[in-house]
Amino acid sequence: MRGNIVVGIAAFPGQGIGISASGIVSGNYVAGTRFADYIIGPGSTVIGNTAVGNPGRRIGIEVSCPSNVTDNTSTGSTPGLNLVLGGDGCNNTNNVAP
Amino acid sequence: MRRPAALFTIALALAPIILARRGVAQAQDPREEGPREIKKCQTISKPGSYKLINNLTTNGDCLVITADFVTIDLVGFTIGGTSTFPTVTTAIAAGDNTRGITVRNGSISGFVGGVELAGDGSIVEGLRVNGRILSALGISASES
Repeated sequence: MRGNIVVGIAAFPGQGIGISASGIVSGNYVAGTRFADYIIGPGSTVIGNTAVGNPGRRIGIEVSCPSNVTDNTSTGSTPGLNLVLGGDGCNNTNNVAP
Repeated sequence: MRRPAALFTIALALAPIILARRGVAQAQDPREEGPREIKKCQTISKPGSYKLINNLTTNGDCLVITADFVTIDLVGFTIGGTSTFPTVTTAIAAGDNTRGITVRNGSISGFVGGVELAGDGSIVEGLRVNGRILSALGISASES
């Protein structure tokens, strides 16, 4: 999944997913969800994606391990988590997720 | 001396039939066709390449894929949904019994679900998905 823009998936409060994927996920932009911008399955390569927070959004990028997670930016989850790596074996490199 | 002339006459008589059959065979060969054109929402039940030739609008699901190895190029056009809550609609959907679906290059707006490809081997690239109030999912696809 490459180079997509997903905005305004504003389901009921606490719901709505921008991108749900596995495999190579690169160069995508998601903003305006109310649950998670990205939900990524194990064994994926997640590179250069952007997740922009929305009031009430709970998760920016959630990745199941093992996966390679590199050069992504996830901001604005307040309250909530910008980057969630579930399980062991993820390569977490150069991500901006305060 | 009369035999060659008879053969020539037979060949002349059969030529239109042979040429016509050859023309039909060529028209049915998908390798020699360009992408099939999509001008309205529909079910896609045959493998191959497809392209939109205009914007599409619907109050239901738009492109429902039931075949393997389908490629859809939106060519910059938009698929627009007009349904209202609580109707659940999806712009482009393929079931988990499909594989090898590719969708690229266009916009989707106004659906509860944008692109939902449940099978494996899917590629989604170059899309812009704009949700609406109560949209639940932008893009779902599994490449592996």
